[in-house]
Amino acid sequence: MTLREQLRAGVASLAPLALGLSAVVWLGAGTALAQDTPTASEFLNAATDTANWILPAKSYSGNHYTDATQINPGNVEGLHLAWKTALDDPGPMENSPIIYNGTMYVTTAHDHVYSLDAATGKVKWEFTYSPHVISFAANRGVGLLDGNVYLGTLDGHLIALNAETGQKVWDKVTVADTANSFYTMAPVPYHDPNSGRDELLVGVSNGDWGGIGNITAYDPKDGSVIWSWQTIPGPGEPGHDTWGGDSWKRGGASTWGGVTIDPSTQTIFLNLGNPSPDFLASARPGSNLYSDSMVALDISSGQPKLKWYYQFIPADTHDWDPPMQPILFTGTVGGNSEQLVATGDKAGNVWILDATTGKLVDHTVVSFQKGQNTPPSLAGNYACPNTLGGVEFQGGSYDPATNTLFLPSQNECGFWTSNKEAVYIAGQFYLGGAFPKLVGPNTGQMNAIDVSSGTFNWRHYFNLPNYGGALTTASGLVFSGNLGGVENAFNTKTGDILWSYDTGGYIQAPTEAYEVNGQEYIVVASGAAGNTAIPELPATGQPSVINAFTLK
Amino acid sequence: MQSITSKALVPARVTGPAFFLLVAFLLAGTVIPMQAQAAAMSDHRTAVAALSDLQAAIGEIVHVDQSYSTDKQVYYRASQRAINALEGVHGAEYVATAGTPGDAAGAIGHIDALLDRKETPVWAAPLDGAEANIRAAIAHLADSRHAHELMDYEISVSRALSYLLVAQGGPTELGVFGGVEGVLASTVLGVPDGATVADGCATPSAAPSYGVHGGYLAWVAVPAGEGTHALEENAGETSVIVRNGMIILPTAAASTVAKACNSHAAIEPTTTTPPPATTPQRMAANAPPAPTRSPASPATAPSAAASALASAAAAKPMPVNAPSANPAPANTAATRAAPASADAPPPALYTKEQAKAGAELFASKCVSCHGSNLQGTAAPSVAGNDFLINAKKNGWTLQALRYLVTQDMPFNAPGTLSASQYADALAFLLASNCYPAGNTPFPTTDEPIFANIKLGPVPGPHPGQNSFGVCPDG
Repeated sequence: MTLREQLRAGVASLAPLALGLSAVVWLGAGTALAQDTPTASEFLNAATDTANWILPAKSYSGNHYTDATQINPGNVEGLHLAWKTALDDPGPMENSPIIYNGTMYVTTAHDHVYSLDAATGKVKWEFTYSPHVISFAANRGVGLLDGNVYLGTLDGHLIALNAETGQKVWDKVTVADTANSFYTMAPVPYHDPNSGRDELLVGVSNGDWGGIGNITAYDPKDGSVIWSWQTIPGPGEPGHDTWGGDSWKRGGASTWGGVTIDPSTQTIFLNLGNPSPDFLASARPGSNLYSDSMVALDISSGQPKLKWYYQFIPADTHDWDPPMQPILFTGTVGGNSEQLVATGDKAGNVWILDATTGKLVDHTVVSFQKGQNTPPSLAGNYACPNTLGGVEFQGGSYDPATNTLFLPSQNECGFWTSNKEAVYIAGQFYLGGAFPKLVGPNTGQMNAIDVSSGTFNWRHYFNLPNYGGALTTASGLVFSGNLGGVENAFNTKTGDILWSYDTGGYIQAPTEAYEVNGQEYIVVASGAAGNTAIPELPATGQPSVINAFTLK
Repeated sequence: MQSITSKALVPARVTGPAFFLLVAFLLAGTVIPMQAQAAAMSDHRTAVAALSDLQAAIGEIVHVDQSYSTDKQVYYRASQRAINALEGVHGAEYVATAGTPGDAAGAIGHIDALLDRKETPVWAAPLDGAEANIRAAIAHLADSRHAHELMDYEISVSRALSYLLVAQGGPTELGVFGGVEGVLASTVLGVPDGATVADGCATPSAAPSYGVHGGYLAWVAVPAGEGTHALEENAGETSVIVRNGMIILPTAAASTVAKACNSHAAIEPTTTTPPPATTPQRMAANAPPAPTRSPASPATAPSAAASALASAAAAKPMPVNAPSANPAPANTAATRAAPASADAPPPALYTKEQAKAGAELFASKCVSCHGSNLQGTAAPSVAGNDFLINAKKNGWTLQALRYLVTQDMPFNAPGTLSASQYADALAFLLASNCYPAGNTPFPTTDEPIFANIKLGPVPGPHPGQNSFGVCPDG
């Protein structure tokens, strides 16, 4: 059974219940209109809906894959710019547009939200918010639910906007530690079939600033907490002894990589961030669970329970966490069809795990690796990749037709230094050292990894980093953007580049596909390089732009 | 060259030091024989095996320290196993029943096998030193087997560990090698069996290949973008060069080799062996002094150039961290200065000339992330209302600001400005935040009074202040 067949089967059995409940939700929500935001069943069906793109990675499975076939290897060279909309907030563009019934919702670096006509790019409304930036200005998208657009902000607010007008419905500070905590990820709408309640699942960014990560389910009506799960075990919990002394209290392991959900087993898969202080392991003796780990949480009982975890890098000293949303898929290994979950990490590894047990199935090195066992020293030393290398947050895709995992990776090395001790300053980095000095080679590649063997079907090398993730279409194309600003379409089978377009900005956002009035579009954001800036590229002057492409 | 494919890593719950050793072996691209094969092994494999035994011993005592066991025998056994890995089966302290995380030859067996020859290769002196340090460590490990209290045990074992870290050694930024890791990183011992060897004086023409000259390893060339390579963990490389589809990594010995190549003379180890700054530097970081003088220590290096290098190293031990690594608490010097209160006018801490210079620096090094209006594009604001309100809320002091700027900035190139440039940048930030200029320049070192200066909005009218609350820089 392919992934799509399996998802269809799963959806068919859940749909009646979900439809019934969502009808109740509409009644309760009063004025909220059904056509403004998706229903619970539409969220469950998101993978096979070629018109809309309603979750950050298309569906709950985290797989940037579309069934759309209008644009295919035979006609892709005729793809041209349909529209281009510049947005008035300069900064790095990292967002995954959310597209529903012909309207596109995008965000910019300082938490501005724009509603666009998906066919023309015309701005319908704009919500402007420029809060205090703790460290990195970035917003990766919004969630659509119950007639509202939900936004997590750089100052730790959850904000609900009316999807039709952009007017604020409610606004609440939902982080506990306001000095160090902020949101960059899109709130993920989820309908709990047991309680019948809608939820927004949101993880917090606070790991490199001396906080502790959590994943929290909020009530979309008012932002109140339904449940919350801490990523670092407290006193008395299993795994607490992997942190020496009180180091767990500022241990990091933030949750900013997105949320993958298997609705059929009510399991969520999360990638957790690096331990803190980032570069000084002696300040936190032990293996530091669940930092640099993937965890599977059973959410069927109303309070998450840990099903399994797999720690990729114990006691990490280089900020090499797995930053992307895990990809849940049914792949073929050893001739058998298996439920798998895959991720890359910033150390340049791709890991494929058994989604049921968390056991390692395959491990592939995808970046230039060097000096990985030597912690940063006072005098400094080299290691590869640096904190911008390896596999980054944009994620990738699994193609059932070729049993292939597509995702890009970077080769960047760094010169790292540690300090004698870690100094905690509220609202500032808690590192025990410094982020690495870039030393090159600052290149990247697109990888096609055969899931049955963990080896490469093909690789395409670029002379610049390639941060654009991977969108696979059922017609046999992979789309990805290069940091230099060129959007490319590859043939899934050969790796040949069949189409390219230079956006003129820098691309570090994932690519998506959608349809309006039966016509297929490809969309990607471009903007400034921000903290991914490298000496090979000019430093400034890139406007924030949404680029949409279509045939004829 | 070897890429890790998966099935080799099947043990799904290998954690801690064992995990790192496993990865180290895979990364080294070298199969580590677990049985004694000293007689049949190449020099490279013997050296790798010595390092493996040494690291196994270190792993054993580090691991037991993290076990939090209350059983003395667990600790005694770990010490014995570490001794076994170091000494091998022929050692006087070897006890077979404890087992060994190493191989039969032990680290000393492998090093002796390497040193047992008529000639004196460039790597002989550091290996001699490593062996002396290993023997000292064994003496402390032997003591630890009789410790009555955990504290006594830890004292003995931490001493042993400090000797073992010296024996393990490592290349440094200064281009100096030492210990077993050092010889693997910067001498012919680091060239794997069957690898392509080229003239270290020449530019690499193919990858993978190893550039060797006079017994030193000058560079390693690997193909660009191809996953894992057969490189030693830490080659002490001074740069990463990308050329003709290759990644070229000059080792710590590269500059030594370059000098020799330029003078068209082979390197004589007795005159050009660089001083092991590794040892004093490492020890400076780890507190206890170097226990046994390495035969390659500065005192025995006769060359004037080597002495000059050594004194340079001594004068500048930690160029990146030294100025700011340790923010001092309030002390006597701080109490002399009046603590800054909310009402008192803030002290004048910089000159207008510094702020002007800092403005130029900001425009070239900081503006791409912090914005020309200082309100931030990809990074936070650094001046004005937003910055100062958060500074007050979070209790940021001038010492914290100085620490962050000198430590972490510029992002992606920290520590790359000179001390006076950092001072100029801080003067510019103070000026932009409406702190008054004076006649005394902002210092290039941390001052105790900085811990008492809490940043926040400065009272009073400020001519020229803009709508963001930013003041002109002079």
